[in-house]
Amino acid sequence: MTWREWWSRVRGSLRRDETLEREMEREMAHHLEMATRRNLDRGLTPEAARRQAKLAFGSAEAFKEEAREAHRARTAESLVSDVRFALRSLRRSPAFTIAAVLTLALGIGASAAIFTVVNAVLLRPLPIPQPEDFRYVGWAWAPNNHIPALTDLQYEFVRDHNRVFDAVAAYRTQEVHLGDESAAQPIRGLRVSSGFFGTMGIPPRLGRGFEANELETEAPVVILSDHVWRTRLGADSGILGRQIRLDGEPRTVVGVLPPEFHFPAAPEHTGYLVPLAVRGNPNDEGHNTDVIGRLRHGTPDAMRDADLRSLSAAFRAAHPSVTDTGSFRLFTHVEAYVGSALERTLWLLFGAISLVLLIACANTATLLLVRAAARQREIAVRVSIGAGPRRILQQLLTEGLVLSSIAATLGVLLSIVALRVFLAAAPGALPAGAEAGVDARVLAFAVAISAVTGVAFGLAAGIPAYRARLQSVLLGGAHGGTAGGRRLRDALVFLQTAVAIVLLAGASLLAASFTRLIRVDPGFDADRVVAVGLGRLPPEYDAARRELLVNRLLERVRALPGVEHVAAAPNLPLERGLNFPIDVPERPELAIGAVELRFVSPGYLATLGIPLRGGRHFDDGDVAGAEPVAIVNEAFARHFWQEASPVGRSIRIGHFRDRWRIGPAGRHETRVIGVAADIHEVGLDRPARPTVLVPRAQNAEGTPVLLVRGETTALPGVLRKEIVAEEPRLAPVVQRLSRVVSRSVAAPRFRTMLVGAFAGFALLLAGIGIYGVIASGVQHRRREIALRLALGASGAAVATAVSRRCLAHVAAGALVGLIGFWGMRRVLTSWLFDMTPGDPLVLTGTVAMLALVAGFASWIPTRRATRVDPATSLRLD
Amino acid sequence: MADDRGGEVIKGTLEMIVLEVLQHEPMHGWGITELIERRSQGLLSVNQGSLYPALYRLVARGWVSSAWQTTENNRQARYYSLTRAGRRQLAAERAQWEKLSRGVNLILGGARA
Repeated sequence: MTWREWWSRVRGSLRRDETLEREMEREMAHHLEMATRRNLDRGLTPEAARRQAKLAFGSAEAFKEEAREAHRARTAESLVSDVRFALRSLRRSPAFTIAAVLTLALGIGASAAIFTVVNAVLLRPLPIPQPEDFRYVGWAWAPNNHIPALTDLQYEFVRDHNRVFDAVAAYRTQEVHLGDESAAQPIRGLRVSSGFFGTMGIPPRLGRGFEANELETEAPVVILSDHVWRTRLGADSGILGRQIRLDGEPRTVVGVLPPEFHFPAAPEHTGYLVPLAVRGNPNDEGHNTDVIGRLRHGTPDAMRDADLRSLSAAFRAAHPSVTDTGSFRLFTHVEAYVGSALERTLWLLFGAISLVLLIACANTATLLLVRAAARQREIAVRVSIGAGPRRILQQLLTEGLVLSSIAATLGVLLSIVALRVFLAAAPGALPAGAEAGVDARVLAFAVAISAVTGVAFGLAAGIPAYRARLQSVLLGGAHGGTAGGRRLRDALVFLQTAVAIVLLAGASLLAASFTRLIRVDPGFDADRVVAVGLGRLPPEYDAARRELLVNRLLERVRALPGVEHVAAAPNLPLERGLNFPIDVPERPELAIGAVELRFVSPGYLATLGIPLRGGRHFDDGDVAGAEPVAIVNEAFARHFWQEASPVGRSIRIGHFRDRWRIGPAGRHETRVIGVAADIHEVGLDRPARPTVLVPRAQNAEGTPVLLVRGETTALPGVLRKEIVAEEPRLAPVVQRLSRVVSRSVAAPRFRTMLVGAFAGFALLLAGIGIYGVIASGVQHRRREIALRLALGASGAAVATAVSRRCLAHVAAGALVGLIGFWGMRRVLTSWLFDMTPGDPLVLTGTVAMLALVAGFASWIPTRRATRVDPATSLRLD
Repeated sequence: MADDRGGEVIKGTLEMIVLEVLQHEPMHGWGITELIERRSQGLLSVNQGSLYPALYRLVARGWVSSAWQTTENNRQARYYSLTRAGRRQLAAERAQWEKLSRGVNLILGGARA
């Protein structure tokens, strides 16, 4: 029976049920009417006639129920009875049912969990009106070299000349203290340009958006979020027109955002909005302005692309002094904020879990086949008493669907738990705002899986039965299982092994690569260093006061017992710092557009344990007004001077291609005084980037972190206390640097852990599958085995005989799996550190692991086979 | 209910009786009830609660078909009629019944003798 026929039958039986009810009512009414009429003829009063008729008829409901039962007997082939039959039949073999349901539920649960994340991060539309038209505008130098941000000049150009967008807007994130609550948590918000509300598609709930003149002058007005308005201002309905203070500055409230307002690029930064006026500066080629846009609805992609190309050309023509030769590019949210690394990781995990699901399905199908073989006598009996083969197939199909539906229900529940574990194992693995939850799409996914697997199972179990010569089974005793069933089982073992090998090989490679990664010496001593983030300084701290505070803190900490070195740095190692273009006067053509520039206090190198390769450290003489100095790392030195010593040379920070650009150091040359050893500063798996250190005393931007080197384990607590004692409004974040290092490998660890867990699960399932096939083979052939043993065959010969066929399929599966893996190796290459996907050691290990499991899985049943007393087995039949 | 007018139809024979009364013309449920009472001279009465389920079963087995028609009183009622398979079944059941009742009568008659 085809799926469609089956479905139309189910639907037909449901529809028949409705008509049945209506017709029964009519038939009953007619009957009562006739009975009443007869009673009237006999001279009863109308009322008595009706009552008598009703009495004679009996309980209407009982009648209806019986009639329904009879109707069901008619549609004995309907869904309900088949489901009942399937449930009964599943209940009769609890071990099988539990094994099948658990295997499948785990497979469905794990894949639904991963799918939930994929859905939340990659598939679910953004919670804004018409999300399909929402884009980020960025700049691309090459197809693989782009940034989802523009220079101010570029933004102005897009705003004024594009024909692609209905609205574009620039924004910057910001953090302020509200009112006088400077001790409380600052609130996060956005500076937004004109076009913001048009782009987001959501107007304020109270009040209005910004007016053109307010935006132009960056007027002291503010629009609050619903959350801030409620929690910090008591949902005051008279708030419009009132003044509040942000970082001490008075601003008039002109609007309140609706509660559903969501800003996908920075979901945390929706506490408030203030006006932003963007003014392009041809000298500023920093891509520091984030730009969002709402595409004109319905513009064809080709026209959009053509328009962007001509816009890019027009921009270059309009600003010949700009050296940049890239072009405008649009980014979707996933491209801009999820990032290709996370996107690929999620698809990798989804691929891996799909393979696990495939194995789980193959395993369940194996179980069903084994069971179908065991049930052949039952099926034959049913055929002989008149059930057609279609009927049997339909019943097995229903049984498969019932099984998979139970498993899917359990699986969805499991996935909710699995998701918690998943998210707990990887804090921050998901981009902010991507709330992973079970929604309609996830449920549809689970339903689709269970439908497909259910039908597949029914067919797997049913087709051999359908084809089998049932009479011969009845006559001959069900011993061999059908040839078709056996072939299918062998195919399933083959499939499971092949898929398991792919997963195992992948997981082993990731694990080996991860082990190498965490063994990398970062180049600095992370174990004895504590990092202290100072958080946001109170608003009255300008640059001068900030540096005074930093110096006082450094003094205080240095005086603490157990502290060996202390230094200030702009950011933690392995976390992103500031980049500036730098060149050297004698080789301007070697200029680097983005050099890591770090403003540090003397003692930075000593604190981190980075060796000085030449020259001198910073000292107390390197202050503002003295000669500007810098220490460069080896990578920087190699780039500009190859083997020669850089000490004493000049560099130009902020100078690039014949021009001084925006740079922190002012427009003057800086003298190199020392060379520091390279460290893995941007990631353990990346080589050192050219880096320049300059003394904070000469040049500093931003609030630094303090790095403290010392022995004591009590250091974090002491540090926190000291810092708060100096400035009670600070909320220092203290952490060991080793944790920062460990966090930097969180993504590969997470990947490795999950894929490893999947592979382990796959291996276990494959082992169970092999076990099941050999065990059922042993069961079927017990008479033959007994005969062989009785005739003097050795245990080993018998063991070979019963497991040879299955193990041959395992070997073939392993081989094909390896070939398949080889075909897929490109997928993995980008995840591997310092090794190739063809690593012979890892692949050999993978095969050995599988061989071990297969060996064990076949050893148990064959041992049992060879231990039996031949006489017992022979007597059994 | 209705026991003042006679005994209930023996379980299992109702279907045969329904087939029997339907063999001359299509009838609706009420008509079947009346005809059974009349032809058994009031000895048998049909519990309506089992008549309709029996009719549904017969329809399900393909021995009886049903169709909505207008009655002599200008009402809509479902008329049941015997199918070809129903006629064959009736013949088979009649033969079976005769054998059974002869057997039962012989035993009862013998016991009385």
